[in-house]
Amino acid sequence: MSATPVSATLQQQWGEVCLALHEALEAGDHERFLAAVDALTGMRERGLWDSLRQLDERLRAALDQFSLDPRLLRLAGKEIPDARARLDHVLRLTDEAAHRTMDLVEGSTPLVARTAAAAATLAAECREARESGAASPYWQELLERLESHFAAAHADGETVKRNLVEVLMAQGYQDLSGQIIRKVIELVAQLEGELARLVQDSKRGASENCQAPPAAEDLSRGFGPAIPGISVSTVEGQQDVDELLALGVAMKGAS
Amino acid sequence: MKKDLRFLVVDDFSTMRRIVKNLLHDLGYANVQEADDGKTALPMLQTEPFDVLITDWNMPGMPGLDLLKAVRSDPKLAKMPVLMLTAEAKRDQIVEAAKAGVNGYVIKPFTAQVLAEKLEKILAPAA
Repeated sequence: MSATPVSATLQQQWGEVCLALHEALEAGDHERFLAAVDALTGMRERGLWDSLRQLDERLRAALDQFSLDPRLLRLAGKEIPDARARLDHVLRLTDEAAHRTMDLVEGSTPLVARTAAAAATLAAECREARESGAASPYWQELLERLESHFAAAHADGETVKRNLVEVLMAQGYQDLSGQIIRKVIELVAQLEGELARLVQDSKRGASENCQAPPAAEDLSRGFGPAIPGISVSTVEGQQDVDELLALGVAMKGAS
Repeated sequence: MKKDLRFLVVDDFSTMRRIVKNLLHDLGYANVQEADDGKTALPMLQTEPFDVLITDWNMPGMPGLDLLKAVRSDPKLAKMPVLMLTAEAKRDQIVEAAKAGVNGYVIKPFTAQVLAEKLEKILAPAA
């Protein structure tokens, strides 16, 4: 049976060293055997080094191409810092809008409270006057209408007061969205740093500096608001929180 | 008399501090001061007489959990009621806060009613 080209190559490359190994083994020559093993591993490592050298060349070529791409330079130098500035601006705008809303809520609440309280007093006075029976039928009827008007005004005022509290609470969105935007700004800043380094490295033609990866988020720092579909192992609501809190207190007591 | 209680509200977002301050005013607590993170809050707590601490978790400088631990390890402040008011929602965090000695934990977004309930609970004299 004739050898295929592949097995011929194998034979050519490894045949001699295998034969030496085999002969040393047969002869029980320890020294010669170890020398053959050294020769074998030496041949293997040369292959590895060749592969590494090729990889390095490919990496350099890729980095050179990066630096040639003007779009990347524009991204690193202008567009990403711009993106950060835009997000900062969004934060400022939502902050101003929330405070403006709260200015108006704080300005309106005492007014509606005063009006509602006055309406309640007047409704009571109308009823007293009506029930005293001293008024003429015309006034009796008018007092009745005034009383129901003031009672309704009082109830409406109370509803508006409650709604204003809800409007105030709704401004909490600025805190929550702001926290999420701050996380994105941090991420964009990191991206900007990495890109700048990449551009610099490719200019130098070698990437010698190996930066430590950014520190992982840790529990003590906090993770920011839970985001549906992204955050894992988060609570479902206040009920969940209360149960976990009780659990933590129990664990603390036990330790 | 309980309406004289002095509150310190710690949050890095002025919007949230203002919301909490308003809610406390609605509940009849007029004595409310603010700080924007643990680093500014701690010296205030150590030098001024506060009765209740309401703090966010995620803040630049010193986060709320570290502030809580600092409060618990200061003999003068160790017994102060602390309510955490935060968007931090990981299960481990809540357990961690409880172990660090938090008295209440309210998750954002919250309602005025939940805040009032939790406050009432932590302010009730220990039975």
